Amino acid sequence: MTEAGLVVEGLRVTLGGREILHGVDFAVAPGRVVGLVGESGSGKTTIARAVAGFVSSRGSIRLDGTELGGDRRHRTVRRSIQLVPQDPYTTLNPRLRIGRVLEELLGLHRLPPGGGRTARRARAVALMEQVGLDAAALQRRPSQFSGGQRQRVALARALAVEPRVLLADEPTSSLDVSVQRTVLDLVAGLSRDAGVATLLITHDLSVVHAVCDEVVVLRAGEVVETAPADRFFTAPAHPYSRRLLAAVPRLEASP
Amino acid sequence: MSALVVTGLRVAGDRELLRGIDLELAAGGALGLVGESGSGKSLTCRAVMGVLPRGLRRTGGTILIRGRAAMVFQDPLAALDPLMRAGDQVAEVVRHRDRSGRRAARDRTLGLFADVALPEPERASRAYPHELSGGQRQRVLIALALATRPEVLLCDEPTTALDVPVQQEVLALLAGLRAGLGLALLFVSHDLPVVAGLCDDLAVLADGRVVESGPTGRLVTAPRHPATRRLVDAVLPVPTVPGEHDD
Repeated sequence: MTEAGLVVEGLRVTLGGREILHGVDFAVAPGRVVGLVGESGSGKTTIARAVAGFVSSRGSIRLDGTELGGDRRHRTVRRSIQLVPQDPYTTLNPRLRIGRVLEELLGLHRLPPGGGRTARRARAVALMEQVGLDAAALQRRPSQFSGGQRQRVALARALAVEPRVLLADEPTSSLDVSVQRTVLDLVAGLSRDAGVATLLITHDLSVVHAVCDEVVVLRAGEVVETAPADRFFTAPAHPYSRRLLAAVPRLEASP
Repeated sequence: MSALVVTGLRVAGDRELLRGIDLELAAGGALGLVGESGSGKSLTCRAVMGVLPRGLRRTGGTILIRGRAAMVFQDPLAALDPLMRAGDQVAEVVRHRDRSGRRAARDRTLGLFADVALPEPERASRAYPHELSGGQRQRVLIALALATRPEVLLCDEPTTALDVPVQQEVLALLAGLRAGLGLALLFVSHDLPVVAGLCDDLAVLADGRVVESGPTGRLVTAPRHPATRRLVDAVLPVPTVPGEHDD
């Protein structure tokens, strides 16, 4: 049987002479959403950066059975792993209309295959629809969107190049709580529909509970527990997981 | 008796941002100010403290504070002087407030650090802000606020930047200070479960107005205003693990 999705084994990252990740193992199957949780400084973002190839690492990072290693300059490899940032405002060019951003990106990756300008435009419209925005949004610049809409745009941009892996780093932590749920459902729904392996990085267990299939708990650069979400929330195995869960403020517990 | 009474508070810049805010905080009480971003929570806090952002001014209303108010900010790294040791920052406030000498100020600073449960107060007082963890920095900031001997503590999202276990500790500290020192708390947050756990009463802000207020229990179980309902509905539930109650 061939291996599908993202598989990370024995991942080690050293930054500034200090080892940040001490041999991390986890896997994300196509169409699954895995929540990576842990406190700040535990190494969550470093994992995303290593998988995306932004920092050098030791160990194995495989995509559909192929070792990614250091070969990140190859366009198809780079294309297959997309990042949805915490605050898309910082990564979208403020001067460009969204339509132009998407069409340039599609052109760069020669998508859709064999299609010209008209095909790219049609694809951009379809992407907007997928993330719940209308075609008129293509004429707008990043500043003309609300935070939630901007995160939809960021998602459209990530999905435009038909990635195999989506790395979403705290995608809703800069959003108002009232739009958090819709954006999370969108990320999870689109990942599942497109068969994308999604790693959702968050410190917020309520986010994990809302959309994730599995949970990976990271503490000080080590994975302390990996479990299906339903088991994690009903019977967390590791004392640290239990401590994290117990600390979540709950509305029911109010006076 | 009220520790803080705000009546008809209006703040404007190019346009009106607070459009007549009424609040009442009982002495030793805890009032939570909740609402979506842009609703005016932080601005209300800043107006009470008299530290409005540049370009904004109070255009109406009255603010009555019994005694002194002090404020704890969201990001302690931004609120602390990066070039000054934590202990010196607090001692400076103590010396100014108490008109005390160097020695007495140092002793009171260490006392305050103990009050906010900073581990190893001596070591913490010699540390620079970047050498402390996020939770420790927030404790220093609370000590800084306590140094002014306030009756009212204004807390603007003080736990938002913290990890959940640390958040829980800081919330417990605030609840303890309220009970121990009789401090009244005005607590601003977008996080309803956090506010609900700490505050007896809530005021919901939307578009520069208080749209609903009342006892926390009533608001979260039977919200009346659509803005309150949105906040309650937006809370993503996390199941409680059987037999895993924190105590």
